[in-house]
Amino acid sequence: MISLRDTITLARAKLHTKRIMLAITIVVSGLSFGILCAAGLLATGISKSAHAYTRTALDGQYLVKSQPIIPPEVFGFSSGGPSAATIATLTTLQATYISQQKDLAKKLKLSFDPQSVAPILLPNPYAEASVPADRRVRINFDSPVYPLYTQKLQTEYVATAKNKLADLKTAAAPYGATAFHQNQSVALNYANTSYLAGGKEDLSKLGPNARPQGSDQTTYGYLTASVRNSSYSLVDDALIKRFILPVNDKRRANLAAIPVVITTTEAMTLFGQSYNISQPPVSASQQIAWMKALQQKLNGTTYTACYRNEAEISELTTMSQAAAAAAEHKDDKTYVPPALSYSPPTAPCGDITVKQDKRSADEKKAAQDQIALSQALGAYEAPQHQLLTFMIVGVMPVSPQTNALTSLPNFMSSLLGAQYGAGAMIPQQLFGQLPAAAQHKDVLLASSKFSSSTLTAAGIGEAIVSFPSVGAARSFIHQQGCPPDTNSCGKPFTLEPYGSNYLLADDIDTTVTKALRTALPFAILIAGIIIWATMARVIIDSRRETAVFRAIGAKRRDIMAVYLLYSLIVAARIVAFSLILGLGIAFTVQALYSAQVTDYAKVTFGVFDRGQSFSFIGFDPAQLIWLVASIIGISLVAILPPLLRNVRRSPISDMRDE
Amino acid sequence: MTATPQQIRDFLELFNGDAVLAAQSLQAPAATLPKPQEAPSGPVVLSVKDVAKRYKRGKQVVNALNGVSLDIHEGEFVALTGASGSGKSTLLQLMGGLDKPTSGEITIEGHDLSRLKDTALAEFRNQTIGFVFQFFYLQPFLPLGKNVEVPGMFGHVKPADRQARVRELLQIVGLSEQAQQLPKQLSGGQIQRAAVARALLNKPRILLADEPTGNLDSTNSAAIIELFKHIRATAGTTVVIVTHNPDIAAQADREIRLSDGVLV
Repeated sequence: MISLRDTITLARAKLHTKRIMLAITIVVSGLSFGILCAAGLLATGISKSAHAYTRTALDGQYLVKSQPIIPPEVFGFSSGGPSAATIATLTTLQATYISQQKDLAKKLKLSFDPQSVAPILLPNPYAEASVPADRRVRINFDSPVYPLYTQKLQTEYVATAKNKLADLKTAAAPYGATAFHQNQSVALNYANTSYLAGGKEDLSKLGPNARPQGSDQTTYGYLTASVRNSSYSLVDDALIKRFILPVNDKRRANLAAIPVVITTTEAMTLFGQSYNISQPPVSASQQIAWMKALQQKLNGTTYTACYRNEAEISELTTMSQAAAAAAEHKDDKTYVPPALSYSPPTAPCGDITVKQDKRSADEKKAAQDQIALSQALGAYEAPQHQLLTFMIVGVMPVSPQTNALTSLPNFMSSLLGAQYGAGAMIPQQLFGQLPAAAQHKDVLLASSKFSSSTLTAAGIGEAIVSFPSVGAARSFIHQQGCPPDTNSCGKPFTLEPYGSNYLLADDIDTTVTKALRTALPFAILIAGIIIWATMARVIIDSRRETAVFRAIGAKRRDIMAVYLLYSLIVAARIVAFSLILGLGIAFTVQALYSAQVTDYAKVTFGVFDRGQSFSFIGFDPAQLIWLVASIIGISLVAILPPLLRNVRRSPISDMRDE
Repeated sequence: MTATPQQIRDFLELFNGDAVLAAQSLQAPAATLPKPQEAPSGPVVLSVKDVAKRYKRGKQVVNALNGVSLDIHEGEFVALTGASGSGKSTLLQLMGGLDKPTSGEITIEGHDLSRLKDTALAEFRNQTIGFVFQFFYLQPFLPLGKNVEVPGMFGHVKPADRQARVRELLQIVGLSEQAQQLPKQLSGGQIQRAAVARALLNKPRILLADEPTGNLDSTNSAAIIELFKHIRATAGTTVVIVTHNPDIAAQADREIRLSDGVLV
């Protein structure tokens, strides 16, 4: 067998043939593999850096938000209208309710008109013609019978439900869950609470016809206009501690305001002008300083909102309806205005006063009896309002949604940034430290028409589960949960990442690995065709040389060794070109964006002083081995068939083809 | 047969200068050249017995050789001649083991080439036979010295020994100064002399040359033939050349003529 040294001598001499074709082959194949190499390096780098930030931001905890999947029937909703059995149940419930009311009224010697009870069933003019006439009805959610009905449904549901907190804990335990947190929704909303912008109350935006302000009804809209739409939730401090600012003098001076963490976007809208806060700088390097200045200015800042209960909202509705009717009939001398009318409050969050009461004595007595009856049932709600004072204790960065794809940093931060769902967040522990009167629990934690204390008491509600690793969180989400917004998938919970989209960072790995695996065959195909064509040509054109080598005593394996080494040298050059190109692209991206994205990541993840440099370059030995092996494999495979043909040919014919 | 030291000195002196000048000097005083010798009566080194070679060209079967028998003796200088298509090159290639006869037997130093396996035949060729081709077939991107070294690479000759042999051979063929040059920097005659040097690297006992002067002018052709004679004279190498040039054939010890695949 020819020595390695001599093989190298002959193989290197061979490299001088067809140099231009060879150079084109190396460049084109190298481009194909180089881009693949760059993609691999970047994907690995981005994924590793995002993971590092996620770990830092959440102190190594990976959170999963769990929502129990509750069938809509538990709230009395049913597609196609109520069934005959439901109608029978509701009719019985209503009859029982009226009977109880009657008995109570009799006992209290109060008048009671059964007609004053809003019926639980109303005609449904939109029912399909195929529905029998006696079932063309719909449930009246404003009826006092409705809560009785849902309570009955929910009591039955709770008895067999498999989506309680205890069930969640059992399901999460095998995955190593380390903690469970229960967020609470706050009963304030845009229909009953108005943010007092500049200390003024806009009553026209309250009531049943209210619409969200500032933005749309998407999660993003609620997130960036949560204060204006009075959308709040109580969140465990541990989950948002990176956004909670240190206590300062302003906060020490005011110990009775409800603590709240709001978004930077909303902070700009609400306080940008009054606090002289500039627009966020475009330059990433100035974002942190801007963010810190914003936090310093807003930490301890208070704002107020006015909550009005359903009875007051009803008065407001009556008032606005009376005003509309009066305007409509202003030239109609026969028009008789309502006997009872109200005057709007004279001060923000002030009382609604009776403007005029021309009701007869009987009418007044009937109304008073109704109130007394409701009071006796514990269902009476006197008109009331409360001025709520909130104090900003944290600011959470939120990426602009509309231009998330306009730049790499925006894209990164919108993908990987905080994911806390909708609403401004009230830290539970800080809230708990408030004096009882300042907590306004009767308002903030009141049960509403569609929330159920029955379900909550049974442990059926939103919960946050903490896991020590992405893998554990991922497995738990995939194996035990349905995707968010799913009504049913055969599992009791919807599960999704919480606090940051760490799964996305993990998915980048998986997806890019998949993409690279998909792209690899194409790159191999392109490079393979080119390498094959060139190598085959070189080998075919070397027939005479092969024949001469054989004539002067070369064995077939000697010749194979020379050409295989030649092929390896070509492959090594393609590998070198690919790596240089791949590293070049990756380092260029690193040089252009690393500092900028590091700052964005620090802002996005809320870890100004803890986040390390965001590196775009990550080495995955397996990827590099695949790349190198592919190139070498192609080169060797490309050369083998023509080479085998060459050494098997008769040298005579090849030498005489001059 | 061994050359006297004086003969070697004369020859080297002749070729240390330019090949063309050397050849010119060779052509003029014919008296200074050794006369064609009588067929040597040494042992038979190459034996061809009743060899036939048929091959297909399209649908037609070509009888390239038909019952050829001949013996070539050690140190003999034989010219195979004949018209184009007479079978002379085919016979040379069969002698070199590059192809196998359809029937008959070719033995070199008692080895039946047909019975040798491919690897053994390659080794045998490498050690026993030197080939010179009409179109030289040097490696275009290897310096001359390395080109001459190539058979040694395949023959497992130690690099130091190979290089010493290369220096010796390049001196013999008058190309010592061109050892580092690439073939494209040399003339046709120089390239063919280098090709002869390459053929001699492993000290073969038989040198087979297929139209070695077919691509050279008369001056360079004469120089190449003189080189063959010198090799035969100094190393006792048996030389078989295929040529259609009667002047060259006349300088051989023996001319074997072929016509339509048979000896005439």
